[in-house]
Order: sequence, then C-alpha cells, then structure tokens
Amino acid sequence: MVEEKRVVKTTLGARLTHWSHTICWFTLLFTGLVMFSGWFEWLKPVFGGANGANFLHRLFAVIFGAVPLFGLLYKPESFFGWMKEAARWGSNEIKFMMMFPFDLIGLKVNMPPQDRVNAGQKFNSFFFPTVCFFIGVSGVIMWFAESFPLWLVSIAYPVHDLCWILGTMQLMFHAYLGSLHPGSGESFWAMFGDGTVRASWAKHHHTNWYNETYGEDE
Amino acid sequence: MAKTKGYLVDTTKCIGCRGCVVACKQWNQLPAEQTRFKGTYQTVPDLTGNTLTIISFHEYEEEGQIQWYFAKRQCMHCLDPACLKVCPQKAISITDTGAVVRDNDKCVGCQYCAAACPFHIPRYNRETDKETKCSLCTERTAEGELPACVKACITGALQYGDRDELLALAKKRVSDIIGKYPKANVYGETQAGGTNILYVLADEPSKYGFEENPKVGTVIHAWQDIIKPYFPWLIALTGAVSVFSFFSTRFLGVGKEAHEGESLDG
Repeated sequence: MVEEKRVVKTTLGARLTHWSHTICWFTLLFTGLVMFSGWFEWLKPVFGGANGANFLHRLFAVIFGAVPLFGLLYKPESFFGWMKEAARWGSNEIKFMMMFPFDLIGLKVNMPPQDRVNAGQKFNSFFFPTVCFFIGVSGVIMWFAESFPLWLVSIAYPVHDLCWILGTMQLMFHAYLGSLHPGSGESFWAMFGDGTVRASWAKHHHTNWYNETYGEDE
Repeated sequence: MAKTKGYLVDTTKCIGCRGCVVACKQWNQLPAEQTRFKGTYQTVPDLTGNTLTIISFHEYEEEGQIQWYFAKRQCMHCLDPACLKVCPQKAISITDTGAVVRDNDKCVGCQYCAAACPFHIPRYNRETDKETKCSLCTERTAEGELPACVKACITGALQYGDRDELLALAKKRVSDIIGKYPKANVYGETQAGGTNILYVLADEPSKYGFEENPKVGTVIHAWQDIIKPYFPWLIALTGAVSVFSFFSTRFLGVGKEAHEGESLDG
C-alpha cells in the first residue's frame, strides 16, 4: 500500500505544552480534590498525606504557570497566532456549533469547511486559557493570603473552585472528542507522535486550512 | 439551646499586662515571636500560626489625654461558626460546652476557615501546614480547670462560666458603668449570631478594632450552598454525555467513512 501524504498540524512546542499541561492538570486536580472534600480522603496516602498533597499542588502549580509563561515570552508570536486563529469566527463557525450536538450523538451532518482549529476547538482555545488564568490568579492569592485583602481571599476560593470545575467539565469533552469520538484518531495520534496527520483527513476535517496551506491542486 | 460555656472579657478591668498571652503560649507550648518595636506598646502585632491570643492596644487622644483601649483577641467561639460550615474536611466541631475546636489530624491546611471567619481569627502555620486557633482550653475545662488565659488574669477582667450567666453579668456591668462610659456595650451577644466569648466594651466596638456587625460574606455562602454541592456534577454530566456519544455514534453507525475523508491518492 502506498504511504499517504502527511501534513503537519501541530508543532513540537504546542505538543509539549499540551502534554505538560495535561500532566499538571491531573496532578493538580487530584491533589486539589484532597483539599476540596472529605470524599477524597482515600487519595491522601497516594500523595503522602494532606501535607504531601499540598506540597505537590504548589509544585505542579508552578510548572502549570511557568510553562505557558515561558512559551509566551520565548515565542509570543506562537501564542498570539493561535489566539488570532481562534478569533476568526464566521458563519461556518456558527453553523458548526449549531450542528455539533447532532454530530455528537452520531447523526449524519454535513459540517461546513473548518480552519486548522474547528469552531469547537476555537471556543476551547479561549475557554481553557481563561479558566487557567483565573485559576492561576486565585491560586496565587490563596497561596499568599497574608499579602492580600481579606475580601479578595474570600472571593479567590469560589473562583478557584468554579474554574477548575468548569475546566474539568470541558476536559471531559475535550478528552473524549480528541480520542474516541469517530474520526478523532488521526489527531489523537498526531499529538502523541510527530504532529502530522494524513492529508486526506486534514482536507476532510479542516478544509479551509488545508486549502490555504497546501493548495487546492492536491 | 443547650447551655454553653465561654468567658467574659471586661475591657474596663484589663490593664494590658498580657499575662493571658503568656499563659496561652505556655499551656499550648508555642514558641515566642520575634518582633520589632513599631512605636506601640502592643507586643505581637497580630495573631499568627504560633500566637493564639493577643492583646491589641488602641490609643486615642481624648480631652487632652491619651486613652488606651485594650482588646483581647482570639477565637470568639461562635454559636453558629462559619469555619465549621466551610471546612471541607469536617475538621472543626463544637464540643458539648460550646467550644469550637479543630481536629489537627483532619486539617489539610486549605485555610478556607481563615477566609470565612467573620472575625478573621484562624491563622496558618507554615511549619505544620495547618490552620490554628484557640480551643478554649477544652482539655483543661474538661478536667474542671479554667482556660489558661482566664486562670492567669490578675484583675478579674476574664471570667469563665455559663454564657447565660456571663451575659447577665455583662449587662449588669454595662448598666453600672454607663454613667462613666455612656457608650458602654456588650459585644458578642448578637454579633455573627452570638459568640461564647463576650466583651464589656467601654466604647464603640470600632475603637477596639472590632467590626460593628461582622458578617459571613455572601461569596462564602455562594461557595458553600451552590458551587460546592452542585457544580461538580457538571463534570459527571459531561462525562456521561461523552460515554453516551461513544456508544450512540457507533450504534448509529456514521462510522469511519463519514469521518476519515476520501483518500487523496485515489
């Protein structure tokens, strides 16, 4: 069988940031749950008790914040390019979002052509960084509570909780849609591999981007 | 309501000797604080993870004279404590005498009690990674002893007993001194739903650094009553939708053809 042509969809930097973020998110989630509710008492020994969980929560919080900040300073055009990409909304995006629920349950729909990131991913591109931003800010306030006014500290707790809950909620969708949802396998393995996808898959799922980048002549 | 016990702080009898502070340190075996002189006689500027009670000094110039107001600060042992409500580990409880106590083993050091407390009392101890506060010397009172601070008080400014009796005593004291201190009042009867530590104040609470009407913030209520019990279910919901989609997409059989794209190599 002839090897099919492959195109690059995600850069090495994007993949590294994505997976460091994933590891941090889950570590922070589970160490945080120890603090969030007595329901997760059984998790305490995993992290070496509540103190161990607190320590790991802070350690991974630093990595969680430092990696994107480093990326932002080292290669600002990468972040802003992504944001610009995600900010491009037209009728195709709105149509995609309206038809998406049908696609999700498995009905046959003809999705309008999408850019490199589809409308749902564009929404996620804003949603997640926003959630992370507020988690980070409220986390710093709680960590250094003595340095902040009390009213701000008391707001930080609900904000932190609200944001990780919304973030994890979105994460459930993101994890499923990016792996086991029909047709997602290609980008899933791209994220674990060299960032390339089959050209035919790219053309099917991200038509606009494929045509703009690799030409219509293919 | 069950009979609860606490103590009365009669600020008009307090001479600011801080014997209570030292006794508290001694009984709880807490290290001394290293502090710097900042132009006030108050030794420790604020409660810390190692200091469960302080006397705060408030100086005012009144009628050409310096007036000192001394206020003992520690956990107020609320009848309806906000810290107990917000603690995610249920590490805070009320004893049968009404003292609000913490279980050090259950505490995970999240410090939410500190943010919720209307009196801003619990403090974080970095070394132990736990929150700390006064326990009303539960281990002493259970043996019929007085709380360490009360026992140390030389002027009778601190008096331990049943809250009802102390409240009556406080009211009587206020009526006795109202001639000399027209703004005298009882603090702790109604504040934050009532506290087991009661005060006879000679002047407005604000002069002692107390809030007139301390309240538990609305964001705390929002967190406790809405976000915490209901929002985590959203995660379960999206998880369930994903699982549903996993099966429905396969059952409806849109399948690979519709999603993989036709081969460009044809």
